[in-house]
Amino acid sequence: MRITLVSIHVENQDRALAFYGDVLGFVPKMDIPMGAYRWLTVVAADRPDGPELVLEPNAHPAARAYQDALLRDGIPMNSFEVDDVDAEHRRLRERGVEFTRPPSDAGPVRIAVFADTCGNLIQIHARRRAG
Amino acid sequence: MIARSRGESWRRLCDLRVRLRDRCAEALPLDALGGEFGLSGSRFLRRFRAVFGATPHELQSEARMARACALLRESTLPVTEVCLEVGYRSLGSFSAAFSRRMGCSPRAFRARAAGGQRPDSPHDCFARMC
Repeated sequence: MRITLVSIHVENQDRALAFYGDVLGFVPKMDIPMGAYRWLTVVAADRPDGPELVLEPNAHPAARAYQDALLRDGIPMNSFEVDDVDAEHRRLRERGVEFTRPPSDAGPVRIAVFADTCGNLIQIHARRRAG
Repeated sequence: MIARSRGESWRRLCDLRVRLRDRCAEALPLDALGGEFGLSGSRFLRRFRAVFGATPHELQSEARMARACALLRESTLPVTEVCLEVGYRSLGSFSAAFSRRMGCSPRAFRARAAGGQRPDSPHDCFARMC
């Protein structure tokens, strides 16, 4: 048994691909039409065979309720690892991304939180360097 | 009333977006929403877009179309009443907006749905894999 898919609910798959692809820099991997929706996944640019993030439509009312409640309370849906949280924060801010939490230390990691334009908050984290 | 704290402002922004989606037929003073957040119109729109990827007007229109599709597919309400139900006051502007987004008129959409084609589905992709 392996973990190869991780899913995140999104409001609109076109907008999701624009954000996760063009803004965050992930690379589209699967894009298969499924009725009104698509089986749509992206991977990290430097890990083409790594886990795929499924950009899953939030068509089910329960998915929307779950997203709404976490977003409103400021709780991230997932956390992506980066090399340098501050550098990513600067890069994404320049692309117009809205951060709800600027880079800050949290125990062994440095984190920041931003809105993904699809109804979720996403955290980025990097291990803090020793010293 | 202007939001007092950053946390309150965030929650009100989230509530506004839920309202645009779940109570999409309501007429909202979309041009004056910034005032509630103590922001000018253009700064408010920039912030809203940065968080939700679209303007309040776009999200409201999307929600109205989704609701119209559901009503055309699942109810027998006449098109005129579907139009009013989702917040349009004129059939002409509803039909034009619908055709622009869905690529066919409301009547054609209903006929196609009744013919067994499901131009839109409430199921998630994961559900479809089962």
